Amino acid sequence: MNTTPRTASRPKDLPDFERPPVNEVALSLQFAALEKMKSVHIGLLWARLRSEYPDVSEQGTISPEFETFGTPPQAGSRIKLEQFLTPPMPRYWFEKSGTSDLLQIQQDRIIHNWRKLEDEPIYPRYEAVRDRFKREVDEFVAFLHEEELGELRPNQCEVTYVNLIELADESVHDRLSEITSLWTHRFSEELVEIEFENVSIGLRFKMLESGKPQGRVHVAFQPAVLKSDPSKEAIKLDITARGRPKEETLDSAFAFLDVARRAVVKTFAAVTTPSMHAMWGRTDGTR
Amino acid sequence: MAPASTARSLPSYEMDTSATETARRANFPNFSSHYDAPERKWEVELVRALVRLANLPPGWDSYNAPPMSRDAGHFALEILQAVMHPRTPLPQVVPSAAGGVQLEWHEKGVDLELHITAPYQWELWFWDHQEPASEPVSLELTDNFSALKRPISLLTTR
Amino acid sequence: MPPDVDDESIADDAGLLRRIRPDQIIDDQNLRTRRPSSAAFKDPAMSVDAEPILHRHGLDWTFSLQGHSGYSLARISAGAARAKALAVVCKPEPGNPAHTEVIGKKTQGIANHLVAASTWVHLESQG
Repeated sequence: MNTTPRTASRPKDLPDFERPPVNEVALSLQFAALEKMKSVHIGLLWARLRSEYPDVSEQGTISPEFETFGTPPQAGSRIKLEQFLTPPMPRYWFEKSGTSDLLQIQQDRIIHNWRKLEDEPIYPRYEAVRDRFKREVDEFVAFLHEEELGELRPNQCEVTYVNLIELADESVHDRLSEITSLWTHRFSEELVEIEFENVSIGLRFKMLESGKPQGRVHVAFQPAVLKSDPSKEAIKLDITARGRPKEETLDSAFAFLDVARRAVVKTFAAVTTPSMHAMWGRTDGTR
Repeated sequence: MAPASTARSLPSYEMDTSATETARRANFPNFSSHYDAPERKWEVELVRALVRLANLPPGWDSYNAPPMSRDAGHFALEILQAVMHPRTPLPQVVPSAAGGVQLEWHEKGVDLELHITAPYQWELWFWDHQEPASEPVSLELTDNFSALKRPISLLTTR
Repeated sequence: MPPDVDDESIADDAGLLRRIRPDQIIDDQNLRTRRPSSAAFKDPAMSVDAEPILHRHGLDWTFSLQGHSGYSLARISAGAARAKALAVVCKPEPGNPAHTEVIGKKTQGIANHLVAASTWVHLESQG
C-alpha cells in the first residue's frame, strides 16, 4: 500500500496507523466576528484563491460554539441567536471539483476540510492538512489587512476526525463490540421477540492542562449506511476536540490545534480495540 | 448528543439517528436529564431582547456607546442556557455603555449582574443581602461558570 | 494627545449629569425603586455634563436633556467618581461647554458605587 511520507514534525509518542479509517478531517478557527466583512469582499478574496479553488458556493452559517465548564451539560436542541438575526453574510465554500480539499469562510469562522474521495484514498496526515490550513489562514489575514476589515482574534479552535469503519460483514452493528470495548453487546436477560437493531454511543471528555480544563473531546459512534451501496452498513466514529486558545492570537490558536489533534488521536486509540488497531496497521509499537 | 462537528457530511453515507431523536422527545416531568432540553419558554423572550440590542446603532445611548456585538449576544445566551432552570426568574436585559450586554436580577434579597462584552470576557457582581455581614462578590470570568451556581440557586429556590 | 488629568477646578461636591435611556432603568425589587442600571456607568470614558459649568453659562439640567425626549437624568458628585480613582476631565464640545468625561475602567464594583451615589434629577415615567 502507498503511504504518504510523514513530515518530521509528527510527535513520536502519538498512536500511528498505516490504514486509519479516516474519512474526513476538519480544522476550524472561530474568531470575533469581522463585522466589516460582507459578501462583496468575498469576490476580492476569491481572486486570490481562484487558482487553487475555482468553485465557490454559498451555504448557511454555522453557529458559534463555546466550551465552558462549571455547570452540568445542557445538550440537546437549544435556540440559537443566529436564527433571529439577519445573516451578515453566508458561509462560503471554496473547492475544486474532484479534489479532497475544501476551504470554508464566514464572518466568524475559517475551516479547512480534507475529505476522502473514492479515487484518492490516501490520508495526507494532519501535518500536511495543518500546513495547508496555516497558509490559507495567513493569506486570509493578509487579505483582511489590505482591505482594512479587521484583525483575526481566534476565540475557539476545533479539530474533527470523521472515521468510517466498515467490517467485511453486513451485520456490523452486531459486531460493534469488536470495534470498541465501550459496548459489550451483552444483555442481562434474553430478549424474546425484541430484536437488537443498532446502538449509538456518545462520550465527552475534558482536556486538562495542569489539572485545569482547557477544552473538550466529544466522541460519537453512530450507525451509517453507504449511499453507494445501501446494503453496506458502517459505523461512523466522530471525534472532535474543541477549546479556547490561551491568547487570541494565531500562534496560540495553532498551538491549540496541535494539542487538540493529540487529544483526538489518543482518544481514537483509547475508544477502539487492539484488534481494530491491528486491522488498521498500528505502527507505533505500543500494541 | 451530537459533538457539533464542523465537518460536513459527505454524500457517501447516511446516518440513522431515529433512536436518539425518540429518546430526546420523551417527556419526563419529574427530572431534568442532561440530554433532554427542558421547557425553555424564557429563551424566546430573552432572545427577543438580545436581538433588539444587536440592532441598536452606534451612539445608541446619546453618547458614544457601541452596540452589543453579535458575539457578546451569543455568549450571553450561552451563559443563560447553561445556568437557567425553568423556575429561575427572568433577568432584566440592559445594553451596556461599554458595548456588550448586562443581564441582571435584583429580587429575593439577591443582586446578581452579569456584564458580557465578548465571548469569554465577562464580569459577575453578586450580593446576597440576606446573608449577614456579606460583602459583594465581584469577579472577572472567562470559561468557568461555577461562580453562578449559588446565586442562580438562590434566585430559583428562595 | 495630552494625558487625561483630573480637573481640580471641578469641586468634589459638583454635580455631574448623565442621561439615562429608558432601557437602562431597572426595577430593583430589593430596594423597591426604579434606578439606573450599573451598565449605564460602564463606559471607560463616561460622558457627563458638569453642573457648575452649565450654571456659569446660564444653563441648567434641562440643557442636558434637550433633543433627548424620553431620557431620564441622573446626578453623581465628582467626589463619588474620585473616591474610586476615576479622573474628572473637562472636554468641552461644540455646542456643549459643560461636556466632561469620567475616565477610568469601571469594574462592576465601581459602576455599582456610582449607582449607589446617584440621584435622579429627572425620571421619565414608565409606559
